[in-house]
Amino acid sequence: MEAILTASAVIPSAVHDRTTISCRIQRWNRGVCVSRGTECLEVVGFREKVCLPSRISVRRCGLARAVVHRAGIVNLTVGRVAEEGTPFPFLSNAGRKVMTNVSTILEKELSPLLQHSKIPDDVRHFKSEDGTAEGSVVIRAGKDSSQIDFVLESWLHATLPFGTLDIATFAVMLGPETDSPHFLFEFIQSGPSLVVVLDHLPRKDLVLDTDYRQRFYEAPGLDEIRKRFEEAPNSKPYISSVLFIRSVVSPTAVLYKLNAGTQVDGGGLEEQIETVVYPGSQKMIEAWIESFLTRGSSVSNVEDTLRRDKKIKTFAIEVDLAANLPRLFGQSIADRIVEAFRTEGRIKV
Amino acid sequence: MEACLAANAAIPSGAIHGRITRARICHIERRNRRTAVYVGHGTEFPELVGFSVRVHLQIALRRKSEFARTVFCRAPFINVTVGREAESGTRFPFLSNAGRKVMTNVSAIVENELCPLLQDTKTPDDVRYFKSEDGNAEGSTVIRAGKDSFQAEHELVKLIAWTVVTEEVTLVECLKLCSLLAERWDVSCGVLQIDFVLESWLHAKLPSGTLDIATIVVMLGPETDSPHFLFEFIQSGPSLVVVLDHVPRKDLVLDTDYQQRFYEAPGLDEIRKLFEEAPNSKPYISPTLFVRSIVSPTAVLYKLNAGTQVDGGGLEEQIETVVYSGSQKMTEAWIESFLTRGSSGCNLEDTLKRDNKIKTFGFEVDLSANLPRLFGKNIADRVVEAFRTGGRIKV
Repeated sequence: MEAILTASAVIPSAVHDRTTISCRIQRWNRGVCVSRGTECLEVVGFREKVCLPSRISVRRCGLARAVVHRAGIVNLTVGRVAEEGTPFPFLSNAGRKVMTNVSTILEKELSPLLQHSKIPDDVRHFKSEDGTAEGSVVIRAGKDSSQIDFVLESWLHATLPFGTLDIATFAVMLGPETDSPHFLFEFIQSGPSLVVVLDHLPRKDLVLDTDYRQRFYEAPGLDEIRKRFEEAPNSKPYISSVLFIRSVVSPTAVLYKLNAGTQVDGGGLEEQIETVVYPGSQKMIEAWIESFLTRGSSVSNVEDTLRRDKKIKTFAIEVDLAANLPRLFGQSIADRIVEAFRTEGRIKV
Repeated sequence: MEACLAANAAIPSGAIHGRITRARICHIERRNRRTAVYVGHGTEFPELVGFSVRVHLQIALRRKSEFARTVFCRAPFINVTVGREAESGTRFPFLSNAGRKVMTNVSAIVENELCPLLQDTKTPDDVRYFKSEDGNAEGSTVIRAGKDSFQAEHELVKLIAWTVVTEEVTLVECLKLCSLLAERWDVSCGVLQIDFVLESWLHAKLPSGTLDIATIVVMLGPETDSPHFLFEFIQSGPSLVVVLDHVPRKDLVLDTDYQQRFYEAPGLDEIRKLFEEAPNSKPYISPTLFVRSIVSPTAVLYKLNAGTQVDGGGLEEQIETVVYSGSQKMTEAWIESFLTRGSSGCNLEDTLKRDNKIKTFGFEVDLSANLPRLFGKNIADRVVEAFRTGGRIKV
């Protein structure tokens, strides 16, 4: 005998639209476990109407009806399935809004200056053999006349023993035709804490060239953006364990770790992402676009600039990518990605 | 009629050895009556008894000598208002005991290792000690330039001449001695060249409380690529900012070997972590972008607070445990880098340019940030001038 059950349940925060739900429905005085791929049909505020289409075998008809009335307690275990093409599919709503906002701004301003991506499909989306990790790396090289080396957009999602890890990255590296800073944005969420790295990476030694510092960091008022993160509740400076990262960033870099605070459900963190990270990242990318379009000047020492940029790229490959990718995805996927990084920009490493 | 009184009084915490400039004895119990006695200046602490001091005073009394003797016996309550007067040569006179221990320790280490390489100070007296007109601020800046090779040679010549004259050596022996000495001097003076060692302190009474800034800086010449040394101890009220760093001579992004050699190999990040993990400490982000760009990736830039303990007692403890050992380790690591890890600079011009920037935009700005408003333009100009001309390498 079959019955159709519907019930409302409170969604745990940080769930996004497409989910698989397994439910346990309390019935009269006994519990019945129902595990199924059920869809969220509609989100009603913070509640959700869950329709479990049939296929519960119930012993007595009358009882099934009672179950419908009494299906009050639903424990939702939310699984997440990435859909092909969804940008940043594993981030929460707030996180995805942040990243797609930055992506849209970059796309709008830089699209005419970029070639189409020549990234092979198996780098555009890849998954580890055991299925616990997935990722995507998309690189678009700049056109020859543009001053852009490449634009990189990537995300990683991994289920690890201690929880999930999500890393979303935007990087724009410029060529030696301009001395404008590079752009870096990393959004690293693991459990209830989020590390934000937002910076205009300098192309020069800021001690030697004080005009550079004035032009790109003081005049645009970048420290104001950093201060918003500093003054956000539950935020503390993030000190990278890698010395090179500490030296490559600018004096106004946003390097902060935000925590969920004392609120249950990580609700606090979602709010932080919406109120602090969203406007902060938007301001930072807009300031970067402006610097790129209006404040750059031609480089006096092309060789030195190329050398310096190469150091940054080599470091990213050797320390950042090559250290983390193999253990999450295995050596062959890691090699493919590193190869793409080396060759897909306008300026080869 | 005069009487000498001696009494024990408890020293308020944070006071120093030195002078009581104003001691006010508030009620002296005498038989059954109390008299307030105001006493003038220049009374010294003859001895420190635990946390008490025996005060010897000369006061004028109206009554008869017998009375004076009674007073002498029965002077248990003394409120000693301790004014602080810097004595010429007292180092860091306004810091608390713990703070002074920290600074003199670092100063001693630097002195011990570098003394043979430094000239005597030529800093004028009115920069070695200065005081604002209204008396609310005092300070001192002492700069010792490093010996240059000309002076080193000069001394070498003197040493040889003296040896020849006193030891009556033969010519052959003399030549051998010359080359030996020349070699040693070359090693110690030719390569390891210091620009200057600066030691300074400032003390100011502001509406918001007192401000104490103590600084030790060692800047090196372009003959070596070893980092400079920077130590600032900035205490205002219940909080303390510590800046401790080996200031790099090169762009660390371009020269990763430099970073490895001077920051990773010596394990400087461990020292920084001591401060990071101290209770009531948080990272200090300088309001000046230039300062943020000159410091190294392992710089100690932390603000320590008194925490919830009254009397700032918690802060004193932090200074004794964390700041003392951290600053000692950092100084020793710096000495070691200076003596063993430096190599001859290959690009003298660039290094000189960079060091000049650090001197002018970094240290000079730092010095002159506070001086004009605390001491007035005259003193500020004098001090900055001494800084500009005090080193071996002129700005």
